[in-house]
Amino acid sequence: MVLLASIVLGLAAGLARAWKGKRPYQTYDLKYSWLVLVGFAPQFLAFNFRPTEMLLSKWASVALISSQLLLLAFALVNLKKAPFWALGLGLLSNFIVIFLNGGLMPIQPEVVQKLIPGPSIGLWAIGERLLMTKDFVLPIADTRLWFLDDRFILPAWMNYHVAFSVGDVLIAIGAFWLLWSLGGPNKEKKEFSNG
Amino acid sequence: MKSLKNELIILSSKMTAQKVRLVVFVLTLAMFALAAGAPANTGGVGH
Repeated sequence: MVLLASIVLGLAAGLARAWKGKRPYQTYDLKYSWLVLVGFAPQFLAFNFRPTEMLLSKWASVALISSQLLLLAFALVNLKKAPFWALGLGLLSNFIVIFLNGGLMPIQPEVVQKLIPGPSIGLWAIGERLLMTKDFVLPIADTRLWFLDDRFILPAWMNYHVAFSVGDVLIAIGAFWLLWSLGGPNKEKKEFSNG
Repeated sequence: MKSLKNELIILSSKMTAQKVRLVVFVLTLAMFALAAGAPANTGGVGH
């Protein structure tokens, strides 16, 4: 939801920018965009689609790693577009910490406690996957590259319970930047697309 | 009259193609962001 918000905001900002400058809002040609669809599918089946998420729970880490490898390839072939540096770096950051910690995104028990206050009995446990998310509850002492894990939470007044990583922030910035740049002058678009 | 009609058809198909391209572009980016990101969204669990 946090990532989708950056897309909605980026699209709105880009459209407003194009409208203000009386320019068309034009998209880029993304190379090998089919990699995104193929990469998204295993994650959708393992994390978002009720009929298969229980079935594939043992394969969740395999689905996540293989999916992110395909997305890394997609980011790599599109690096000429400047916003893909942020998108790619965010993905790489998430991928490294996920890969080094067993295939799921580590999250500290203290952060989970903030997300789900009260007794943890039956809801979550250290050393186990957090509900049906991409996260795995791991103490900081056992986490490799702990500073890349899901450690940030939104302020309480927002009443939205989510933890996110540095990588997620970079992905959100990259998505916003890409959509915002589409409303810019042609010269800027060319500069972006030439890296 | 015929050429005006043809131009309108070409213009509308061009506009439709642009909109389709935009929708595909945004959908691709949304899929990328959702799959590349790994936020822990616990929804209303425990609240």
